[in-house]
Amino acid sequence: MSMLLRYEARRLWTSRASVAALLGVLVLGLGAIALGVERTGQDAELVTLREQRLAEQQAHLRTSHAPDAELGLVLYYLSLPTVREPSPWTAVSTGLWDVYPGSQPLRLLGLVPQLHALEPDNPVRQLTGSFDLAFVLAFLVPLLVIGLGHDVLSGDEDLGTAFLVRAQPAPVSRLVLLRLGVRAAAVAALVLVLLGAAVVWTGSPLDARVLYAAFIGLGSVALWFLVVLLVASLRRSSAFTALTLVGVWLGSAVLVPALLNLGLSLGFPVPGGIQLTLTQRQEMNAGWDKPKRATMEPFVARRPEWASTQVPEERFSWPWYYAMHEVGDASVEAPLRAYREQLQRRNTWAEHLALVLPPVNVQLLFNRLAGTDLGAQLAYRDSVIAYHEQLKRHFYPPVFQGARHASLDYDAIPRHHFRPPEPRLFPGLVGLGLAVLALALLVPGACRRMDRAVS
Amino acid sequence: MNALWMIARHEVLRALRHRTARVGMVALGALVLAGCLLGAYRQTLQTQEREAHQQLVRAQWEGQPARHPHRVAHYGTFAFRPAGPLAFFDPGVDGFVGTSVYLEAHRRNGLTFSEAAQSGELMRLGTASTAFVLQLLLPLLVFCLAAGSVAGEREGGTWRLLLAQGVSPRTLLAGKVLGVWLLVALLLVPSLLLVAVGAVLTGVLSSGTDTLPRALLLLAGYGLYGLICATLAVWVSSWHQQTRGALMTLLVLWMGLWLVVPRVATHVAARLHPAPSAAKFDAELEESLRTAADGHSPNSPAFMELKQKYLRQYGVERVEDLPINFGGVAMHESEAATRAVFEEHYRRLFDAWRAQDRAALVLSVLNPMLALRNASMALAGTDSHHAIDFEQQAEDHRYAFIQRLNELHTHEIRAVNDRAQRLDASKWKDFPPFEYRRPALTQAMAPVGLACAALLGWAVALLAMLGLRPGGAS
Repeated sequence: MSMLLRYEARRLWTSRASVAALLGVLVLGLGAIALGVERTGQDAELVTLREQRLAEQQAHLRTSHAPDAELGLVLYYLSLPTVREPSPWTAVSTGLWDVYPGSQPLRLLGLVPQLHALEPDNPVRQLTGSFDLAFVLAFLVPLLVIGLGHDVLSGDEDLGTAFLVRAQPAPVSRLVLLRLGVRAAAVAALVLVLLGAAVVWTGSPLDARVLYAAFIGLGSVALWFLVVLLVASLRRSSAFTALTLVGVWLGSAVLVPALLNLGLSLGFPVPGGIQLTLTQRQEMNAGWDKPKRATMEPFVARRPEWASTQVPEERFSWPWYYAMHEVGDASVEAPLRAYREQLQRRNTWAEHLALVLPPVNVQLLFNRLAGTDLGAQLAYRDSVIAYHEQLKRHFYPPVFQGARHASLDYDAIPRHHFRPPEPRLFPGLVGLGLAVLALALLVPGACRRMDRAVS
Repeated sequence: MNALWMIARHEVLRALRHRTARVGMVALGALVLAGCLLGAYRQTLQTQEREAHQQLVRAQWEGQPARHPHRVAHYGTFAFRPAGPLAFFDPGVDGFVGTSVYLEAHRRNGLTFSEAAQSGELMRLGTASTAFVLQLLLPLLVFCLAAGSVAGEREGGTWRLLLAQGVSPRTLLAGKVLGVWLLVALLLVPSLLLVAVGAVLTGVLSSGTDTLPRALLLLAGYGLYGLICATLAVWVSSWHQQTRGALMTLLVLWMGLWLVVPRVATHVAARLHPAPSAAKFDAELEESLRTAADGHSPNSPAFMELKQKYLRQYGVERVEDLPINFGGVAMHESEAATRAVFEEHYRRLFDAWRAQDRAALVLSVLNPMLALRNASMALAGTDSHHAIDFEQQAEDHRYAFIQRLNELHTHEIRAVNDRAQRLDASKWKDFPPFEYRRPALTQAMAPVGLACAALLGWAVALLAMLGLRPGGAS
């Protein structure tokens, strides 16, 4: 057996096409890591840029507004950064990172219109999708597996060596398993090399995430070799086997996800997004046409601590202005929650469906690992909402007490901190493991089929 | 000529003999139809929703009570982006561009609520649209159908027989290409015809004047694309002795050119022509805006010169004696100044995007799909040029109504006790609603001339390469 093993290993190693394919994917994988690292490097620069901008802005406000200017006026212009820092793994899996703003500025004004601002980005780039390591591992490696493995059995017919195989004392299935094992080891080594390179290159700490990533990458390789084995055991021509496998890949990695996405967007419609903004604008602006009292009443109901605030009915005042913005937000509080829940529902369903669709599962797992999934984005948005509340609590007392610019301590302004939640990988990992196991259970039957056909 | 047809017919029959090929063709046809059905459903929903929203904001605008014009300017309005006329066929970047934009005083806002920003990660794996299916999967099917066109005949020993009958190798290869292409036509023409009839009957396809030429050009484009794929496949097949080898080469080509190159090309293009990042864009914009005078403070020194000009013009000494409201003039002036700043920054941003798209297009020398994708999106009215065009029209609308409000401020609001005055509610009805004018066909196609040329170039180059093959093909 060990002689056969050595022979098969040599055969893989001396096949120009196989080595070229392995090297090709290696080069693509390394290129993908390089591009990813460059991208997150730019993101990290943005974080510094936001800080710099904040300092410049505060310097400008200090000079443009006199010390006795009303604090409310200064705060109207103040814009604070909220930052979502990329993790080293962001370089590996872009996910939705290029769709949502990585950091958005926040003012003390109405939250709803600010919350859903998008970054200006070339839409063609988003349409094409990102070239990152997750793409290589989830999409290209399966194709490599198909390329290397599809002729595991039929290749002998093509070469005219089938009679030699049949003359072997060992059953055919043993030889097929051995061959696929050798090829799988080569691909697994490639995946590990790429992940190792990614860990070193991105400077990721050696924590559990590395193990998870290795599990996802190797799980996907095992899964696809099992699919190859099952299809090859049908003993059809190489061309048929290759086409069937490409069909399986296409269906599970491209077509079904696209249909699922469409189904989810139709099944869980979110018309709420723009309506939120429309309602908020309507409510907020109505404040100008109503007696000031009508704005202050619902505001005080929300924040009884300001019940004693007196706002002049005849003229503009900052406490009333900020109260009006808050009342505008409050008018859409429930629909805003519903909107978020609907997005969350879409996400949850996508996760459920991914459990039965391993290629999608692999992609989603990498995204969650990298913190570039929808769940992480929603968590970031929640943190922005919480930060807005924190700012209001910080600034309402001075504004309501009629403080002046001079009393503003710029350094004491609360800052936004976002710690991405621990990714929930467990269900996905179990799903991937179970998928591999389920396919593995079919292997004995496939082996019997192969051996039976020979004898 | 007769020989050519015979070989083409023979090729059609040869390919259709395989059950896999028949299944593949039927499956692709079904996908084309399903993509269109889903696309039409989505487009109808979007159009209804958009129109409802546009009417709602119009009603809200007209329903405003008596207000100060500058209050109205801050209230603003919204513009909603309509789907492209053929979006159900090719949604292009539609899903990645915001669907609405808030138009208000002093600020040019970006588009928000893109479909991508409201979808999960699945959207990034692919779009279930007809164009996507045709661009990505049609070549794969053609490659599978045609991998054996020459190599298979060689494998079966029939290639020599054909040559022995005195058919020139050139005619043979041309016949093979024609045959494969006929298969593509067999698939495309009925399904697309069905789609067109269905779209017209259900009213998804607006009977605009240029819809028919758009549809015909699309058909021509995809037909040419099919020809390119067929020629490439036959050419590759002619280098191989066995179907299997040819199929493998073609699959590798597909994976490389169709999956990897587009993604890498956009990355490379973004590197060659870096657009400012959002944070940088905001920072630079804010810095430039600081230089523009704030219209809310007409007494600021920034308006000194303007004030002098008006005093001279009306021959009065004091601002209070002016027959017009200088507060409105200052607003007008500052809006013009900020508008110029926004125009300049957005122009730079859009220029960078256009440069990126052009650079990616140059790389379509490597990949006919990039060329076709650009042409297809332009014809469907769903490319980034259309998105930019919408944004610009919305901005022009914003500027026009804000300045009109500032003129009302200047002429109908007295300077004394300015803020407390209101204009009658009937004024707001005179403002024209936002109407998006879609670029005409010629305008839409101008930016993608290179893409069309690239498609033609690919077809010509491949056919020429095939023409030079006969020696080796024997």
